[in-house]
Amino acid sequence: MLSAALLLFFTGFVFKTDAFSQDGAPGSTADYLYPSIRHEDILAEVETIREDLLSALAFIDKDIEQITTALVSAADPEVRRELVDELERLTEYKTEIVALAIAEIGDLRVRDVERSVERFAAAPKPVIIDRTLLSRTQSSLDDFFAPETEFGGYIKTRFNTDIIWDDDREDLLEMYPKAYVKLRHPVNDNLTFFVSAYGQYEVYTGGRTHYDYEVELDEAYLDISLGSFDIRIGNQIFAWGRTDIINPTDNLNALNVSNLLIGESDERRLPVFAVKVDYYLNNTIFELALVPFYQDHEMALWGSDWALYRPGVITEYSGGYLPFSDALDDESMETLDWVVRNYSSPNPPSYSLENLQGGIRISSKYKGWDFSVSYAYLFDKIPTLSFSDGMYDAIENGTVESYVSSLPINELLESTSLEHKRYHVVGLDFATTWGSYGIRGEGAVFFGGYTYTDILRPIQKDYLRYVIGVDRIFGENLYVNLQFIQKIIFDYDSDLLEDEIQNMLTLNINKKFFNDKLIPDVSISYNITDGDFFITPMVTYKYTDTLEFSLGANIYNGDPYTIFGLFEHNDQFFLEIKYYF
Amino acid sequence: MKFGFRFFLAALLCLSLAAGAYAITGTEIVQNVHDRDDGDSAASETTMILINDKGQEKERTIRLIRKDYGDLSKSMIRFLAPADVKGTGFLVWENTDRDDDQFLYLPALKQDPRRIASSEKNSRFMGTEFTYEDMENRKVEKDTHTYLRDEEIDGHLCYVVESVPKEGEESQYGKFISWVHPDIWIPIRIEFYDENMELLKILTVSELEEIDGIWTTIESTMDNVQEERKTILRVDEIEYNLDIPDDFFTERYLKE
Repeated sequence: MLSAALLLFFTGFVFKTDAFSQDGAPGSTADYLYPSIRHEDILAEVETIREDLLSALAFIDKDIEQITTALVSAADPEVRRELVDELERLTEYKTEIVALAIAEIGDLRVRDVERSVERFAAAPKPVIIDRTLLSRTQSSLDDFFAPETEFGGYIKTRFNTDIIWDDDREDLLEMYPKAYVKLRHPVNDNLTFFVSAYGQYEVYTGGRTHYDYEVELDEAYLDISLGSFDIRIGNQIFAWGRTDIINPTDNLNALNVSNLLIGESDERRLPVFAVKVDYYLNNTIFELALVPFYQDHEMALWGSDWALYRPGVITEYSGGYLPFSDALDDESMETLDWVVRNYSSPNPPSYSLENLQGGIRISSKYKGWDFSVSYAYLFDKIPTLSFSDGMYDAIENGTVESYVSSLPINELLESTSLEHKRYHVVGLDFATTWGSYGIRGEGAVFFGGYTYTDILRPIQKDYLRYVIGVDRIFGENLYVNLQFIQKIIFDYDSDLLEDEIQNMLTLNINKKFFNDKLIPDVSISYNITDGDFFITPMVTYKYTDTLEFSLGANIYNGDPYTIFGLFEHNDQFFLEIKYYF
Repeated sequence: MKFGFRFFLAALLCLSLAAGAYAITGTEIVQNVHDRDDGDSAASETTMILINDKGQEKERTIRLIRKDYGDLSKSMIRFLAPADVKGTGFLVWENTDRDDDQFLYLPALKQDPRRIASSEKNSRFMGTEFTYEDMENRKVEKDTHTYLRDEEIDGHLCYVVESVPKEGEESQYGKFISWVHPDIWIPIRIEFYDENMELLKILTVSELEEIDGIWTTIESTMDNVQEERKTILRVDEIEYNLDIPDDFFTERYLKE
């Protein structure tokens, strides 16, 4: 009785013991009856054996159950002995047929594996082409990546038309055909020169017709590579900072102010003659920039709707030299405009060692963070306007018109001054990722910057400007970029024209359709402080890889003295055709 | 009884020996693919042909360099053509303790290369049907691998392995099934299934060659069956085990 019970227990234990799983790892004994078989015919044989076994076991288990029941109730020792013997016989028989079935299935599994091995051995092998003989006898990376001369560029034409022609003097149609070419040529392993140039034609028509053209050398520099040092000498563009479009630390280059709002990003900065030295130490880059010759921003003073002095400006607002100029009455502003335009011009800093500009920047990476610190000592490319004391008295007293009319010409010439002031700027930027998001930040403190009081007297005030941005791609390719920009004036006085804190948001969204052939895009800049904004919705169609069409609009809205409200009458549609080569 | 029990144990022993001698697991197959010799470094020029659902083609040419650092690697891709993307660079540094570092350089912006966030890895690389995730060297332990069967493709008998990303492991795919050539340990076909287990893409290798003793996929096609688009990759030139300086995998070289 005890031995029968132990046998029953052990058989059950073995069936439930972890031995081998279907994927070759230890599993339960019952898995021996369900092995992984690759060939259909062998699998059929295994299934037949298994079904027969399970059927037989079912009959035996039924008999064992009946005998066990009889054993419990049997009182006669002779009957009990016979029942126990029968129980043992059935249990032993059960073990035997299970072992036989497992052995047969085991044989079939071996046959299955052997057949697989035979098939692999008989399978055709891929054709072997041994390129050892064909490869270069002394391959080196330079042989593979030998520097090559590169030539390329683009040709584009942009048409702008005013959405609302609300002034006869406004331009109705603008056209800007442009050709840009660039050439990079390696002289040897350590020396490369790069040169780019463009030719552009400008046509404005509407209130008046204006033609202009220019052919200019753009970037032109020599790159010298000496071990861990790279030296670049010539007309070049610096692109400090890691945020998008607005970069407080990026001040070395003058800007094409006309293109700030309507131009492409690669057309904003003007190349400046400089010497740049980069030193590479592992993941850290030490950069020194020296700019010996001062360069002004490129601004149109008049002649187009983007000029500082454009139709309607005198009667409505004064323009870029006098920001936030709603503080004075119209007659005073009109008089001051006339004086500034006719009797003053900014004197650019002369070429001298003491007027040298420059900066240093240290960039590095550490555990998923990119960051830089920088310092620059520069001239403000927008000259600071100041008047004589007599003029300030007249402004305070509201007697500008009579004061100016009383001045002889020589005193008029001395009544205004446009001077490029110097300032220091200390900057920091960083970029990292956080899960699905890209996070970027950039900030700079300007020491020695100038702003204006409510009587247009310049006053030195240090200030901070910083940008915090986040971007992400949603789904397959919906790109969203959001940035917050803030300017904070330190040691603020209540009589300043500017607000102590100025806030702005920028948002860019674009998505690609039809295998990246159609790209709708919208950019929004919103001046939180003054409530003005600038929106550019557009769609680009890439007819081929090298030919694309862009259709869109530039929409400005806000009060006249605000950044974007200044151009409120310049809402326009545009069409651009661009060919890359 | 004793004879029957001994016979039972002997049968179990024979079966286990047979299984141990010939069985291979899905994990072992994928590990062999991961561990196969692909050179300690490589430099290649590859043509990518992008075909949309209307059969229109776009062609891109890239230069790729890779260097192994133990189990990790660094790679750099630069676009050589067409003109609108020429000069665009992509740099990857594999990491063990965090997501891989990926940087994108756009020449027109002239700024430092831009770090890319991890979610962008399910977006298509430069308009191809290969996502940033496809271009990663996916670690074997991120998925559960099951050996399904043997199957013949184009006259080549292959192991068929199903891989399912483990819970907590980020992937755009619900699973992928690979047909692995057992002699050279290269998947010659991979089916990618989306999170709903619908067939999304099929990678097919159409040409293989042994170059400098290293089996190389010369031509492959990634077919997006849902969107009816595909990308063909063709290696035009490749060299292995070049002495590539570490400098080539830095911002300095990416911006050149």
